[in-house]
Amino acid sequence: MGPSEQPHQSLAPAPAAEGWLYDGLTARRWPVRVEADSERPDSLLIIRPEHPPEQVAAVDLRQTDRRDDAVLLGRRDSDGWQLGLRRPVPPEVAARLPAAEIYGAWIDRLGLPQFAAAGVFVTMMVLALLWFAPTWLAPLVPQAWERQFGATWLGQMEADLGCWTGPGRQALAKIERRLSPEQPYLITVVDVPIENAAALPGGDIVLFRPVVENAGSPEELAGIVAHEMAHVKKRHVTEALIRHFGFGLLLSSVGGNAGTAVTQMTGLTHTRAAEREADRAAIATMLAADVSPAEAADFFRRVGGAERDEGGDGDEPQNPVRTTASRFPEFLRTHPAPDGRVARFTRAAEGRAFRPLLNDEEWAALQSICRAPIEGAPDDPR
Amino acid sequence: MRGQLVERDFERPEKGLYPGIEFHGHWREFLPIVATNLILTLVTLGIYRFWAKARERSYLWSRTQFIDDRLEWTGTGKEMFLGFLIVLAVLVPAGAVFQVLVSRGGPVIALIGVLLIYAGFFYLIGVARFRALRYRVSRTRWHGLRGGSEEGGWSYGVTAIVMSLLTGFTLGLAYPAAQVSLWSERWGKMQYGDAPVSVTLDKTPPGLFGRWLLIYGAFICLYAVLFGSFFAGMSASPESSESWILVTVVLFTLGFYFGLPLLFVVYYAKFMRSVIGEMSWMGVDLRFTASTLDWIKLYLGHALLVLVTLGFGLLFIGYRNWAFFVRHLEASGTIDPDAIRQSELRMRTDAEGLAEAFDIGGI
Repeated sequence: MGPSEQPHQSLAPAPAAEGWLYDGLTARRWPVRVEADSERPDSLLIIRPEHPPEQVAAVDLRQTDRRDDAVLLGRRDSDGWQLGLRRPVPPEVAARLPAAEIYGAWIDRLGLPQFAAAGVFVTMMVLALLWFAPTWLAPLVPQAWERQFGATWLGQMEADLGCWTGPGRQALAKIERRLSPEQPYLITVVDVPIENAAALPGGDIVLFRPVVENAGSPEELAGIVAHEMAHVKKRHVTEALIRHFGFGLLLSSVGGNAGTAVTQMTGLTHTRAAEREADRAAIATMLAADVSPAEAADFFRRVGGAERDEGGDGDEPQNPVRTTASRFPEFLRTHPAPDGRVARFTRAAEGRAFRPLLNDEEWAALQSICRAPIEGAPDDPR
Repeated sequence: MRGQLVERDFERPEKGLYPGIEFHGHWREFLPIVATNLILTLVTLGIYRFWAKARERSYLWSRTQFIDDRLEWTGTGKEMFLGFLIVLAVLVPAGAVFQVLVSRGGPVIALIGVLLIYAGFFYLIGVARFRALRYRVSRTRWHGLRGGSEEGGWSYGVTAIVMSLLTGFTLGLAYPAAQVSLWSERWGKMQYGDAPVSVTLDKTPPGLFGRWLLIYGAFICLYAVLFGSFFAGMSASPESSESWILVTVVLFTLGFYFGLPLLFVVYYAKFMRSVIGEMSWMGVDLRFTASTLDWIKLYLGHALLVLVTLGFGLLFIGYRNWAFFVRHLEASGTIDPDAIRQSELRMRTDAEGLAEAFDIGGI
C-alpha cells in the first residue's frame, strides 16, 4: 500500500450481498445492497434507494429461514422488518449472520441429542414422582373428606339396593367383629349382579350380591372382607383417587394422549402392588383372627378362571376406581407368576387348625341376605 | 389465475404476471421437522408440542407464495405455551370453584350449574375459534405486513350461539345459512395490513342449500328404511326376519358411516368454494377450486398413508391438508404494495391458548 492510498479511498468495494428489504411500514419491496464494512465487524450496512445507509448490529438480527435461493433475516426490535439475501451470500457477509434457530433457543444451545437425553431423564423423574407421590400423599388426606366422598358414592345405591335382612346382617357383623375386633367397618351388601367387592373412600366396604351367594363358605367371604379391610387400612382407595383425578388430570391436560396412557400405566402398576399388599394384610388379619385363609383361594380361583384363567395377580376383583386396569390389553395385564395369589392363601393355611366362623344357620341367613323380603327399616346391629 | 403488482417497484425479477398462489413444499423437507418434533414432544411429556406446531407452520408458510413473495410465520412456541398456561390458570380454578358450589348446593343449583357450564362451554368455543383465526392472521407476514382484528371475538361467540340455536330450532335446515354467516362474520372482522378483508356474502350461495337437503333427505330415508324393514321383519316368518334384520343392519351401517359422510363432503366442497370465492383483499380476489372428488381423494390419501406407514403418516396430515388448501387456492387481481400500510393493531400476545382449552388471554 503506497503512502498516497488511504484505506477509505480504496477502490476495491466492500464485500456485499444483493437482496431485498421490507421495512414493516408499507408493503413495498426495496431492492438493497448489504455490505460487510471491514471497520464495523459486528454489523451490516444496508444501502437502499431514497434512504441514507443504515447500520444494523448483527446481534439484533435473527435468521428466520434458509431457502435454496435466499437467506431471510428478521430484526428483534422491529416487527415486520424482513431482509432477504440472495444466495450465494459472500463469505464476509455470511460470517456476520446469526445462526438459524432450529428447534428452539434452549435446545439449539444444548444440542438435540443432549436435550433429548436430558428430557428422557426428566421424564423418568416425573414418572417416578407420579408413581410414588399418591402413596405418600394418601395418608395425609383427612379421613373426613374421604368419608364424605364415599358417602355420596354409596348413598343412593345403598338406599335403593341395599340388602337388610336382620339375621343376614347379624351374621355379617359377626364376621366383621371377628376379623376386626377393635375397629368397626360398615359393610353393606347391595343387590347388583356383578361378582365384585369394593372398598370405598372413607372406609365403607361394599359386597355385591353374587359374591355373597357364590361363596362356598363363610371363610371364603371372610377372605374377601379381610382383603377389602386391608385396602381401607392402607388407604389404597385414596391413593387410587389421587392418582386418577389429581395427576391424571394434570398429565392429560398437558400431555394429551401420551399423558392418558402414562396415567393408565401408573394406575395399573399401583394396583398390582396394592393388591399384593392387601393380600398379605388380609392373610395376617385372618391368621390373627384364627380364620382359615385357604378358602379365600377358592374365590380368586373362581374369578380368575372366569377371566381367562390368568391366575396370579390378573384376577383383580375389587376397587371400583380401577376400571382403567381392566380395559388394558391382556398382554400387559398378564402376570408371569400364575396362581401366585391362590398359592399365597393356600400356603398360609397349611399345617394349622382354625376356629369355625359361622354356624350353618348363620351362613344360610347371610347367603340369603338379599333374597328375603325387606323388613322395614335398616337393621344395623351397631 | 394470475396476480400482478403495480409497476412502481424498483425491481421486478421477471416481466409478466405472477401465479396467484403457489406451494413450494416437499414432504422430504417436512419429514425431518416432524420426526424431530415427535421425539422432542415425547421426551418433554408433550410440552414441546407448542414449539412443534410453530416449526411446522413456519415451514408450511415459508413454502407458500402469494403473488411475488412467500409468507412467513412469526408465531413462537413460547407464546403458544404461555397462552395455554394462562387459559389453564383461569379455567381450572374457575372450574374447581364451580364444582364446590355445585356439590354444596342442592339439585336445583346443580342443574343450573350444569346448564351454565354447557352454555359457557359453547360460548367459549365460538370465542376460541375467532381468536384462533385472529392469531393466525396476526402471525402471518407477507411483504412485512401483519393482520388481525380489532375485536376479541366476544360478540362472535354470541353470534355462534344464536346460529346454533337457529340450526336446532329449524331441525338443521338453517345449518348452511348459519355456517355461511359465521364464516362471513369471522373473516369480515379481519384486516391485513391496513386494509380490511372483504367478504361479500349477504345470502346463502346458490346450490348450497340443495346439497344440504341431499344429506337431510338421505338421513330421513335411512331411518325410514330402518323402521320400515323393522316392521316388515316383525310381520314376516321367524327365519326370514333374521335375514331381514341382518340386511337392514348392514345397509343402515353402510349408509350411516359411508353414505352420509360422503354426502357431507359433497356439501362441504361446495361450501368451501362458495365462501372463499366471495373473499377479497385490496382488489385481489380469491377462488377455491377443490371439487368433491378432490376432497375424497385427499381423505382416501390420508387413510392410505396412515395405514401403509402404520400410523406414522398421521404426522403428515397437517402438511397434506395445507398443501391441498394452497394448491386449490387461486388469487387474481392487481395490487399496489406502496398503497398498503402496516396494520395499526397492536400485537396481541394471547396466542392460541385456544385449541386445547379456550382462549381467555385477551382479557
